[in-house]
Amino acid sequence: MKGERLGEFEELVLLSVRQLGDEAHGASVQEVLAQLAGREVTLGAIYAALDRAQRKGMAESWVGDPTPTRGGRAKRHYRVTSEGVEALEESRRIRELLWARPGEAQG
Amino acid sequence: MTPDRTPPPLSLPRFLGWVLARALPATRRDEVLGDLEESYARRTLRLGPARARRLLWKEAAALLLWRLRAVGTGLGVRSAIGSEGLDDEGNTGSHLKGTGTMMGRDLLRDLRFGARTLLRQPGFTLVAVAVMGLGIGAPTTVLTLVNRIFFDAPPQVTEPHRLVRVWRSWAPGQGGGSLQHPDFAYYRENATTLDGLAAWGGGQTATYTLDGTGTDQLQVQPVTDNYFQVLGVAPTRGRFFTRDENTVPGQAAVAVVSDGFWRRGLASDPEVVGRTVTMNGIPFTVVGVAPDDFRGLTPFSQAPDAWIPLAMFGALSRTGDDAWWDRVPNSRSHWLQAVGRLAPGVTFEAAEANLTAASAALTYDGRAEGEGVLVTRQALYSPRQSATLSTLTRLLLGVVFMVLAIATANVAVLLLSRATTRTREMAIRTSLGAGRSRLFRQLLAESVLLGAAGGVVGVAAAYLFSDAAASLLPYTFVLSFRPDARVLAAAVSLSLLTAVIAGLAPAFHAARADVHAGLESHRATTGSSRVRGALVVTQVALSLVLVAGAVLFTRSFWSARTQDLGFRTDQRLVVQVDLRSLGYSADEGQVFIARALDRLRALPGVTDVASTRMIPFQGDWSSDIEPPPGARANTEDGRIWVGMNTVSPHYFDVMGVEIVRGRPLSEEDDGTGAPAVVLNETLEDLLWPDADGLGQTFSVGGDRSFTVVGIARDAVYYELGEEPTTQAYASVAQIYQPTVHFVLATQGRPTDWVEPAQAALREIDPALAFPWVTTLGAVFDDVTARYQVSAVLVGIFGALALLLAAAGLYGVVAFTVAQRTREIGVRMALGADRGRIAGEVLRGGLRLAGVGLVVGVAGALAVRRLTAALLFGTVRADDPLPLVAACLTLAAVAALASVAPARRATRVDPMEAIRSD
Repeated sequence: MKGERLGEFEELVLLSVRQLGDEAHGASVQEVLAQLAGREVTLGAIYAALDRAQRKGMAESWVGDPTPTRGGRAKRHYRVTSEGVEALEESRRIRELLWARPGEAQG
Repeated sequence: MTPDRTPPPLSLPRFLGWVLARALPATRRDEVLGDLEESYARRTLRLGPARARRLLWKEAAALLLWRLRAVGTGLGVRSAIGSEGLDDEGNTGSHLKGTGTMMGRDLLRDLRFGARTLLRQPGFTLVAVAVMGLGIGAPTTVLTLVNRIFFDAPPQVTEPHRLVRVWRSWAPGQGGGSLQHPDFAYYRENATTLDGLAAWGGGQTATYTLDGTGTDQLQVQPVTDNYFQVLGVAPTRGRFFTRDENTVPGQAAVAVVSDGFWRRGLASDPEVVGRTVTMNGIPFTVVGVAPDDFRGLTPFSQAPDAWIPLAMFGALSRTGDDAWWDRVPNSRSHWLQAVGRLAPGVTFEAAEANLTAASAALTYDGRAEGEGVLVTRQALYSPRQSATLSTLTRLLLGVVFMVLAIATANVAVLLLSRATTRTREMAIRTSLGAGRSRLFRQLLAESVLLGAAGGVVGVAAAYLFSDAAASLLPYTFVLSFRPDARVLAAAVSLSLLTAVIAGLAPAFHAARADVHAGLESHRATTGSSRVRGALVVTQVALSLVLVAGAVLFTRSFWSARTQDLGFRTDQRLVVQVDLRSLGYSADEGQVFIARALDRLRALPGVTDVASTRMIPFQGDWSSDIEPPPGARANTEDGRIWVGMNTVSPHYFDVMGVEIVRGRPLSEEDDGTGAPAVVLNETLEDLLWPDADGLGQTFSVGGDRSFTVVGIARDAVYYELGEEPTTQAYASVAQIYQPTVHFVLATQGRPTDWVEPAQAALREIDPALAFPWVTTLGAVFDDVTARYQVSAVLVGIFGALALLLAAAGLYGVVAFTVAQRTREIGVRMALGADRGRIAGEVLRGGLRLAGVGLVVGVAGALAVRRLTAALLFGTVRADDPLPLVAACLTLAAVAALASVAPARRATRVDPMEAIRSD
């Protein structure tokens, strides 16, 4: 891990990708963010965040086969890499540290 | 959570899909559009269709922004696989892995930095993109039209540049009429320079049935056997016609069907060849299917559903009358449009010479009465249509490129003003080590980005408005207008060119900026203010030309519309009947006319009916006579040219042509009565300059003498703005003419009587299926359309130009005030008069406008000659009124644009101004 930081939006997107597992693609990420995070975001913003995450090595993507449910259009699937999971966990750890009451903190 | 239901994807609005399909890289297009369609469907479920649809636009904007950023960071799909890329600032020395030269990297860096700078000032960017979009959208729209009208090959036709059209001519180099069949057949035999000469007749609606159950309508076009071969079309199934099938009238009931009819009417039957389609009761055997989209050379009418040999047209129009072929195709009816294909290696000129010589040698029964011939290159349009179209499109091109120039100047002013305010930023960057060429490129990159965004807006505008613009032309195209690859390439070039031109001055300005001066003060350098001045002068000057043009064309249209025609055009329906094509003798024809007049007059809501050989603005019929003693000639060879017409008695009432002396023609002027004629004032004046024409004898063509019974007021007969023209009206009962127009005076909209009138005529002769119908209003609209188009289009663009020039002027004056805030503050602190300062600012703006007006007047005078062809006769291009009106308008607009900044100058608070640095 190269000590790269996660932006807040980037973090939300990566978490959605992680949660969706095999189903993670642009439109499903958008849906999860809308339903669970209550944020109506554009695909453009999601792609930009995922591009950035990929550049940092935190996510990877591949194009699947065209499926009939999408009118024969292919999907680009996303997955969080182990580096990405590490970064997400790091971010969570820091947050928990900061949320903890004084004295509770575990280094 | 996993979204449990995935609704079927919803397809995107057409325009959005079109834009995105072009904006996205091929490698990601499918997946992104797929996501977007899925997202649209999900949101429609979640948020409702209206909100989902609104959000689509936001999505599109975000996607475009995403691509813009991705290009800026050099992050294509390739680098997404995991290259280092640039860091977030993009302007430090980080490097891109993989290929790409130094220059490419710098370019990307400049573009990316430019994009950031522009996005940081959304207001400025929005205005600049809008102005550029307008500037590029206008020429792109017009180029879309020009491209489609003049450069698009008719679908499925091979090598259209080898096609020539052959027309009837009435004077050397003039013409454009349809051919009569005998002439066509003769040309076909004698056109040795052509690889075939083919012809087609007007389409007809026929009723068809496939197996006796149920009937429907289809469009049938009669064509010669070599029609498809000359156009270079290949059948997708079966074959086209053979020469035998076009020889004996009514014998070969064969048809070629269109691809559309084959799919729609014949359910894409693979065994269609040999099937029977019964049209108007005649069983036609389908011999072939034409390729998809083939429509022949007819841009203004719906494509036919079926083609039949010319020799079958009589049978189709008049069931069972085989004698038709002997009469109509060989009669002197002009009903054929002809097209030939140049033989390999033969030039257009050679073919023209060949046909002209053939035409001169054409004789019938030993008499040289073949009609002249006119050969044209333009395959799709008649000479008259192509003349009108090319005049109008040239005018349009001129206008839109002026708009583009104005927009470019406008953006240049915006950029230059911005560059001036950024003098400090530039100076700081220079002192930190940025090279001048770097700054130069930087600013150029910004304007290229603006140009690109403007180009996108412009192409979108062309996509949206091309059809509307085409509908302003005086023809109804069946084609739809969309920018194609050629137009897109032109738009891209225009955008880049515009961007570079607009960006040059500011870029030079920035690169020259003096570090010390820049850091110390924010005064504009005199050089840049001169350039700004020149740019505003350009805008004002070009706007003046456009506004003057708009006034001129509006005047011309107005004067064309309000000209005293000498007849009325409202509430008059016209039905044309060609009695010759029905095979009538003169006596039978007279009976038909009399019965038709009675029948039509009996229709409820029809107040009166007349027949006439000629209707205004449609063709001419004339004769020339030897002037009697004392008469004045009106031709160069000393004869009197007489326009002729034969009419029924009520003609003068129905048309509203006033009889100034004597009486109109009456029922007594029939076959048994004494020959009578009504002359117009001009003709009377030529024949008997010093005497009363009433009661005099008039003869034309020699054998019969007519007594002048009435004098009619002059009217317009052949074209708007014509000189006073002679006209003689004889009674149709005394001089039979087989071409007849029935003019119905109706109560209310004349088009409501189309069906009743056609039905009434069909009752007299069922063969008269669908006679040609129009209204006098429509005829007049058609004649004035070209004046209207010029007025509307130049008016729209003139208004836009005015707006841009006003904005440009306002921008410059306001900017000057902002730049001088400190100076004004100091002067006011020293007791300067507020009114005087305001006056100074106002005068500055007006001075710029004044120079612009002078340049503009000169420009307008230089181009006025070019407008003459589009002006209505009584309005002249050197009419001073439009120029004066335009000058006053622009002066007023300039004053308005300068007032606000002048007022702002008086509100400068001296203390604030001095402290501000």
